[in-house]
Amino acid sequence: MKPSTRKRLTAYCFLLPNLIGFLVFTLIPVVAALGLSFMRWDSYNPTQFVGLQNFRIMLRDSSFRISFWNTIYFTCATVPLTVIVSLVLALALDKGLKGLSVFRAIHFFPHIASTVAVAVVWQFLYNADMGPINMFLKTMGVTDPPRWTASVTWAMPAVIIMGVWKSAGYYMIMFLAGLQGIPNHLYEAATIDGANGWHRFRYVTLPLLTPTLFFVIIMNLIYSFKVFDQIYIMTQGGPGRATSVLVYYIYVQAFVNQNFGYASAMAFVLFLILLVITIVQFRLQEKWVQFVN
Amino acid sequence: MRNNRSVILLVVVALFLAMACTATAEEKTVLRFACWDYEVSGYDPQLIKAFEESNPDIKVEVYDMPANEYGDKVLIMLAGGEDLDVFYAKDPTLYSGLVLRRQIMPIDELVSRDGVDLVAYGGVLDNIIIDGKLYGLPYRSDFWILYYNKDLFDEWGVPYPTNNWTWEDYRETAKQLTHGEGANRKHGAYIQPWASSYFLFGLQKGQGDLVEGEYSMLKDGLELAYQVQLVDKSAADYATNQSMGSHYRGIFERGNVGMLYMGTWYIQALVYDAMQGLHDVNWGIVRMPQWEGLEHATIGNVTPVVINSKTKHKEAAWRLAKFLGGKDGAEILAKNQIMPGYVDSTILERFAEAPGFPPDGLDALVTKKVYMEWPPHRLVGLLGNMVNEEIVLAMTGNKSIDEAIADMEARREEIFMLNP
Repeated sequence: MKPSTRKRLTAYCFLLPNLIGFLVFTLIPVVAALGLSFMRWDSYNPTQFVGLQNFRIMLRDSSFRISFWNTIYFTCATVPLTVIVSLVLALALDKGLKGLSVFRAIHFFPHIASTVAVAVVWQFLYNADMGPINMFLKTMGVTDPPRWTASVTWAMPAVIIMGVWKSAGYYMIMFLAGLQGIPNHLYEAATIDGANGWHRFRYVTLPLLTPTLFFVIIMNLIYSFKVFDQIYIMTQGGPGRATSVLVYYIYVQAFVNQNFGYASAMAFVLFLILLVITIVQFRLQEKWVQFVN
Repeated sequence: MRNNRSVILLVVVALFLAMACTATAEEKTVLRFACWDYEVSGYDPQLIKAFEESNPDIKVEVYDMPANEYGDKVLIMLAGGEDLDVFYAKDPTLYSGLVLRRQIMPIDELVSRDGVDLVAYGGVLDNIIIDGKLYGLPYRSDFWILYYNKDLFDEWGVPYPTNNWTWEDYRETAKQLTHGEGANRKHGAYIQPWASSYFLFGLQKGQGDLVEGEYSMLKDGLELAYQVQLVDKSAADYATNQSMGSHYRGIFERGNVGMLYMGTWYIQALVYDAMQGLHDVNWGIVRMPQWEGLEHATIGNVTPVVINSKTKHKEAAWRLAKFLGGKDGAEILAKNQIMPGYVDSTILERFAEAPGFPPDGLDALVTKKVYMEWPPHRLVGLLGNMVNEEIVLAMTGNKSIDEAIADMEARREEIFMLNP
């Protein structure tokens, strides 16, 4: 056996446990789900091949359409907001503040708190008549504050705000790590060249933070497309279908209607959307992401 | 070495003992039985104990699950090939789904073979017969009644509700019982934020069910609820109850609301909580109010006890199902103030005998017509979701009631079209 082959084999042996896990718990279920999307299956009786019927139904299903656009709405608002908020937090908590680690811990806390508990508390905060948020808005002179989770227009923003609050701390930690990685001498050089605070941020910090930014955006996009728990607990997709997102509707079709084939077909569409977005992102990254050696 | 040998000896002895134990257990048939809140409920353990005592050759292994996850869990267990033998079909969605997928077996032959008397189940039985076949005996059969807080009525000198009330009486009385402002406001009524609390008014009219009937039947009821909550403000509104996570049990027992319409399942909890010293509300019950000029009717739910069609112990399973859904089970349930499916005069007496039951309350439990919240139908899950969504939109003022009803009709058509 050639030494290089031997080495490669050893490497694969080390990877094997993980590969087996991936195969059994991820790859096989994914492939099975893809297969299911061409079937009719009620979780018990034998599956029945129906070809593209599930996908044709999707095109005519108003609930799918609404959930699809709601998902896009949720994502388009959540991703930029989360990036901005977590970046601002990271910049504020990067250096020069007393008790820094305490503040960092406080902002990280929402991420580790259970979504169930958090969603229940936020539901109360959003209460239209007695909730603290509207109480505050009223004292600020807003005569007709939004009815939040009870309103078709405001339920989605309500869910989005909670989502941003919950995940900002987590991405803040990533940005902090990115900021620590920027060598100090670059700032010194920039200062000597006469750069002010904004210039330093715009031409030193931001470009060197792009790898982190890229990672945060990708992760957040995927998370936003897959959002489920906070919707399930806070609004149950309501009022009406105002906050029904794709994964929530997939759950309804699978576990309320026992139509696992249709649910799998929708999950597959969701997967395709994420795949395309991620591929595009990776292509585009060459244009704007800067890696320093 | 010596040490090792003694360890081995110990293991061998232990194994031997374990085998001996399983051998004795094997003489009994072991049935696997699923239910929800087994430990919390208090009455299911009594049922199982009584059954095991009268059937010493059968041992029942209980799978206890949280009530809100029960349906999903049972489905997953059955899909995973778990050999459950007997379980409760908690709601109509679950029951019709199980029948449709042939996961539970028809019991007609067993019923006629053993000469089981079906008269005591009344008309309720019709609601669980699908395509002419019966798939379970009703274990519990709950229906909605009106609970009221006598102290609040006395405080404001308002006469108690009667068994012949109309919804107009209900609304007027709710207004009279409402006093105070803000957090101290005492409401005349409380309406639990469930879809059924809002569509039952329509079903009481007897104009069909929510699968086939016209949704225009819901209009008067939704308007009544809207008036009570958002115009008279004699009950907290849907959105408030929803966002506060309100639950009728806590609300009524705090003593701040005058009336609550709720299922008979609440009787047991009210009595139990009083015994635990959790409340001292002086409560009474009457029949559900009805629309002016109509025969009395209420709505309800049946919980059949069903048998897995793949059971390996058909006879034993049938004995358990017959016990739980029959007179023996009914006696125990009634003692615990749970409304059984099997009802005759002795059962109702048991019900009234229990301490804590209001002496004038028995008439409320005599009801002629009970319409089901949902009939067994394969699309009940999706239709239930849809009706709930539209009711929420109307009750939170996002849509007019007429729009919501029109949209229900359109969406029902779509659901039927997409799920042929």
